[in-house]
Amino acid sequence: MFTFIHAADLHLDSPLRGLSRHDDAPVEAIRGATRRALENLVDLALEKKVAFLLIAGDLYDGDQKDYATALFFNRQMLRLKAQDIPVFAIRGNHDAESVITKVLSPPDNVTFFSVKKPESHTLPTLPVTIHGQGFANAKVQENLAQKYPSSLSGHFNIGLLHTSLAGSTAHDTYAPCSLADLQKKGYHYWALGHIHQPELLCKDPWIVYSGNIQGRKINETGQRGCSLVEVNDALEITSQRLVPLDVVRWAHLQLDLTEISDESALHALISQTLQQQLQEVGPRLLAIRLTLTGSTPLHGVLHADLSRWQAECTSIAVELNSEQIWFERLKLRTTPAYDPQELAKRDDLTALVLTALKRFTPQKKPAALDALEAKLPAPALTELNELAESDSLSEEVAAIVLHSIATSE
Amino acid sequence: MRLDSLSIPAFGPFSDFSLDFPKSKYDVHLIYGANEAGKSSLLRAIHHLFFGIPRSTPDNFLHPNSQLLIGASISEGKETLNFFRKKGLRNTLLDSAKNSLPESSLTAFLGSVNEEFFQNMFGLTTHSLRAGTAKLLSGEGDLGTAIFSVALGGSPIDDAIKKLETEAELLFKARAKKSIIPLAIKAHKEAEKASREQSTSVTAWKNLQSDIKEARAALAEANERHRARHTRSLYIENCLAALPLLSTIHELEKQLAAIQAPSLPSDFPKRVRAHQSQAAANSQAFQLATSQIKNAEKSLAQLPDFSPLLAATTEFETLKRKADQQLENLEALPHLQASLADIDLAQLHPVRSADLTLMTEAADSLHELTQQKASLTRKLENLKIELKAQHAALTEAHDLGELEEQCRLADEFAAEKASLSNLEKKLLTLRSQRDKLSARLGVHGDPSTLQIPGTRAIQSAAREQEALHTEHHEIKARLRETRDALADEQSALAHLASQAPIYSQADLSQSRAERDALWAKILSSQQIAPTLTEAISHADQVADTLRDHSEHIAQAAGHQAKISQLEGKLTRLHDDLKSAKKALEKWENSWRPQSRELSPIALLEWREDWEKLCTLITEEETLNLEITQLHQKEITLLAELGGKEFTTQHRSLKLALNRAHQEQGERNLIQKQVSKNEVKQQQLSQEATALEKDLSTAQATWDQACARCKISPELPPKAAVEALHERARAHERALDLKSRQTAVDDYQALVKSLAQRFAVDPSEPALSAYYNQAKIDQGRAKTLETQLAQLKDSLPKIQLAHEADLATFQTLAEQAGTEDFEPIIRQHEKRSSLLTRLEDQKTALQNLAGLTPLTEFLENLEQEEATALAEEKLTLDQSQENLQQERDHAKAQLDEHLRRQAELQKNTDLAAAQKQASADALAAVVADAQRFRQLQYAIDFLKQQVDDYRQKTQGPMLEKTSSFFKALTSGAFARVAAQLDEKDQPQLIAIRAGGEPVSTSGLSEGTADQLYLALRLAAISLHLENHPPIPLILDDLLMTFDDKRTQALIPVLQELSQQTQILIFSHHAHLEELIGKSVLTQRL
Repeated sequence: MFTFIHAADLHLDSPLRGLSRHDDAPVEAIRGATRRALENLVDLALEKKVAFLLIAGDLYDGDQKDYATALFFNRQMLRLKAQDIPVFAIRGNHDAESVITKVLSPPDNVTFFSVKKPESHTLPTLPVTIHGQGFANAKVQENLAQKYPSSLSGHFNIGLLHTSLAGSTAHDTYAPCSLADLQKKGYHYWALGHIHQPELLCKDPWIVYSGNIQGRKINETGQRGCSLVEVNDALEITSQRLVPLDVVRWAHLQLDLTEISDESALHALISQTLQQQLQEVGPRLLAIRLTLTGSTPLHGVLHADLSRWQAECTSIAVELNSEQIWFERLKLRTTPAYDPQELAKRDDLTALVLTALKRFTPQKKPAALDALEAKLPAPALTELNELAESDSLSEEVAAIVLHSIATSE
Repeated sequence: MRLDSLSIPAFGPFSDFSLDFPKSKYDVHLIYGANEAGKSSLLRAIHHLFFGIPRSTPDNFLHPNSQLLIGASISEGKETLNFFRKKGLRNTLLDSAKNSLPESSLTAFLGSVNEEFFQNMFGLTTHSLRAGTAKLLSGEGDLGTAIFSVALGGSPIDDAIKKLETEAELLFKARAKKSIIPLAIKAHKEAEKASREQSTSVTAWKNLQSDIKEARAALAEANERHRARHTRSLYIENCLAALPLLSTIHELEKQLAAIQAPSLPSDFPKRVRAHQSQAAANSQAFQLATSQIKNAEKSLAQLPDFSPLLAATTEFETLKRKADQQLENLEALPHLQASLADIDLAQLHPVRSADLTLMTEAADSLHELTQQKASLTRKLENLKIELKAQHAALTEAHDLGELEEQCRLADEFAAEKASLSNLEKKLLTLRSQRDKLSARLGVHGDPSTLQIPGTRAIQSAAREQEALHTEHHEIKARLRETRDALADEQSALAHLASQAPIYSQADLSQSRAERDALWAKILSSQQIAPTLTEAISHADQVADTLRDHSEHIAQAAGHQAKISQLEGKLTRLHDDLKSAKKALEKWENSWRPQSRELSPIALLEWREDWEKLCTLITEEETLNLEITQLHQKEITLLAELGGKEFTTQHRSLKLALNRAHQEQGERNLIQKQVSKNEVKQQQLSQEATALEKDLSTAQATWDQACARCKISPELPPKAAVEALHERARAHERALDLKSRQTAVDDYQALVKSLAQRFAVDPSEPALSAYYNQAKIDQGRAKTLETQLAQLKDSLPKIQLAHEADLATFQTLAEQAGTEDFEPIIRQHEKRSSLLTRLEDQKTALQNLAGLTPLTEFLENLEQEEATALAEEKLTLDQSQENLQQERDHAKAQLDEHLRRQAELQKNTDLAAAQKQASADALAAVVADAQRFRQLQYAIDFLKQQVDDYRQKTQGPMLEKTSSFFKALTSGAFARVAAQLDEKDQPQLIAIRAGGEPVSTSGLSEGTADQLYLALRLAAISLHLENHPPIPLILDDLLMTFDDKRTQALIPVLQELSQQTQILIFSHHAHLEELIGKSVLTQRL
């Protein structure tokens, strides 16, 4: 009967994070990635001749300092207007009403739901009613879903909501609610936004996170796109699938080096892995991180000269396809081929060092770090502190210490 | 663990080699071996015994890898283990019966010691001693790092820290702007700034919208003003143009009123002219028709009667049609008659086409079969001749077996003999080389009997000689340096002495003592000693000098101390030089008997040539033997084959064999051809029989055909067929003659008949001309009759038209009021012209009035004044330029704003792209900062460990080191101690026996060696206090020690041997003498 698209978290014109440039970096390929993804979204809507498009919040990444972003959005919406495709959107925590201080009016085929109370919009040509409410400010903590109206009988009811549901470890909690809250509304489809990882939570009713349309950092790996939904005459969903729209695909792979004992074998393994990934992602750019694991004789060499190995990986990527791979970072989680605890037995000194390493916690900050932190831009400092929480600093320091002792002459 | 014995079945140069290390009071063992005796191989064997033989080993030159085997007996308290180690990937540990043994059996003795630790901690070499000493002498004697480093087995921890610090500083260093992180931060900030600058700000956008609105309004206003001026200006222009038109209209109206003629329809002149033209045409047509009727009637009357001719039309047409045939027949008749003149037509027998075909086929068949028979007969005869020749060519075959065997033997030997000349050439070359080499080496007789030292022995001697020379030269250089330094110090001291006496504290004490003694004497004797004044004065002088020149004296004291130190050093260097000379002489004495008066390097080259000579002689002997064997074989073979010379005989045999093979081949070929020809002969005979039968049948058919056609069978078939054809052709010509004669007669009869009927000359041309003219006249009569009828039909119509013309004339005259139309028409046309002009003027006025109705325009026009209008127009024209500029300006403003708006609306992502660049730079900052943080934590951690370890081990370490150091320096130094430097960092210092402190950098090289050795031995001793013993191996460690120091080391080693077994490897023969019976000696 009709088809519609549910997308969310466009974060238009926000940059991709964590990609250090090098001479051969495919800079042009990542330029305007979120814009290209939005263009892909509109292309899909036109190709599938959808009845309407839903945007479940975080269209913008924050207050618009650059109106070019809104102008670009409007141009894309005008393409949909030319084919009579209406767009229904809500504001999320990133583009809440209080955050977006100056607004460029969108074309009249785009409807933004109220941020004060839930609203319902019924399509003039189809028995479809969409219920939704946007964020008035960036810190909405109340359960918005509870106040959504009941379903309209004889209509296909859709709930449009920006929420973290009951809470997510990777995302801040906003407009919290439970699955039961959503289920009892009697809607056919809940189009959710905020969580960037696409997820089908429930099929009765359909509760879906479409995820963001373009991954923006290394923990947003895999396909990114929108949810394409087909509804039959009985107002039942006959098909729902995620359609990729991303132009840069993030991948984070772990390579086990247990069987790898020399540098040429490691080189070959990395090359082969990158090649496989390149085939999997198709015509888009691959932004990849490799984490090396396992017990290997190369443990010391890798830790001793991480920057050289990082450059080596970048070089392999460039050789394979300089236009289609951006090697994000090389991380080490290897362990030495020998057992450090065995070493501890051999003499007091090693035992002392190893015992101290076991006790080591990054609490007492080295004085030299203060000077660096004073110079770091605030976002870098924040990111560094976040990394400190997730990073296994003790393991890294232990590896560096053991290797430096072993190789000093 | 101690090593009780070594048993090496196969490894390096050893085969079934064994060494025992019996227990005694002191567990110190000297393993002596001259160079190349296998000392290094033995050291490697001990390592591999415990930790496995590596995949790639240099010790497989005598025994293959698979046979390499090292064995030992080790013990730990009461536990013992006898085992072997073989080479391989797994299960390389074997028990005494060579069965596989688990590694854990050995690990129980080794504990947690791995190969690296065994090498570093329990292996002391000259190299490691030198490196450690160099560190101490360079002044980097930080106590913590020194203790830490020796505890690691000599790896300096400060190097590790420095390496990490260097990497960290590359990333970030306070106040260094060009390190990696600050540069990335700068790139991040620049990109952020660029992003802000390239943003389309909200305010700018809104201002632009407002500007566009204002610009649109301004343009609309300017347009309005411009339009109003233009309208007024246009009105004035129109008024000025309309005023002359108005006066013209008035004038035209006056002229119209003056015309008197009645008003006529506008087409009146046209109707008059049409009537006049029509009437004239009608009158002319009537006259022409009447005249044409008369002429036609006259011509018709003059034409003849055509009915007789029409009755004879068929005959005339036949005559005309057959005229050409008549001519052809007349021409052919004489030729036909002539060709048949000699033939009797009555006797000519008719020929049927079937007979002709029968005769032709029978003749062809007979001819073909006759030809085939002749060909077959020729072939048979040829074949008989060929067979006869081939039978004659077949001769009896020869036996080839013997000839082939002889050839095979000759070929085999020829192949061997081919190499003979090469062998002989090679032999000559070898002899020449051997002679040259023998002459160069001065060797006569068999060189292999000479006793020449091995390459490794010579190389070792060369290294030893070089080391001794180097040492000798180094001591000499140090001696020179020390002498120079001593001279400098003495010169400085003399300079200081020349400025003031150089008193010491002792001088002052002595002076004061003398003065005090005298003073006591005075007090006791109440007599003033004559020397008192002098003594007091001297003491004061000394005190004053000491006070006034304290710095000067302190410097002098420094110089004196240095001089004393340098003098000591000089003495030691002299001793060292003597030792070095002695060592060199000793080496030369030991070298001379085996050296052939050559240096080791020269002997190495000589040895290479000698080896080459031995090889040459062996090769020469082998060659000689080969050549002799070949000659003997040739003689035997010639006896068997016959002949005097092998090459000639070999060639003859080859030719004979070739020829025999060729003949055999030819005979085989002929035999095959004979068989083939005999079969062919049989086939041809059969064909000839069949052909004969066909020929007789064909002859019978021919005879029958000749009888049927009445042709003589005697004629040859071809001639008979031709005669029959000729007969058929004569018959056809006779028939043709008859037919043509009949046609000629008929035609002539017709000509004659027609000529009589129409009285025309009796010839075909005359008759044809008469007939043609009659036909033309007949056609002309028909045309005239048609014309006449048409003319008669047209006459009534012409009459009616004339009557209509008269009626029209009457009507026109009534309208004009006169029959004279011309004056009336002229007046009518003038009026029309005036009216047209008047209408044009009014149209022009209406154009000027535009949309305004003409009456309203004329009313307005009546009120306007031309002069005033012209003046106003001038003013308006003058204001036009300003208004145009105003409008252009407003338009340009709007265009500019719209252009900016279009630019902003374009697909611009410059700001976003810069934001991306900023994020990229930030990523680099974070990655590098993360590494920097890890490095800083590692550096701090290591420094903390060094400090902790120092604090923990400083006491026992210094105590143990002091004990060893005192013993090693034979009491010259009392101990070592820790002293804080200017940075409050503890530094290692040595304390002389007299209590004088000396920093590590101030120690002599020899003493620094002893200090470093004391530190290492102390670290080992302390380690052994808490860990099971592992044999300590000293590899040529004593090479840098003089005899005195070596002797001082022995008690230290004896003391340490109470904790673990000590193995001393050395190639110095005199070491055994030096350390005497205090250690057990093993010789390799």
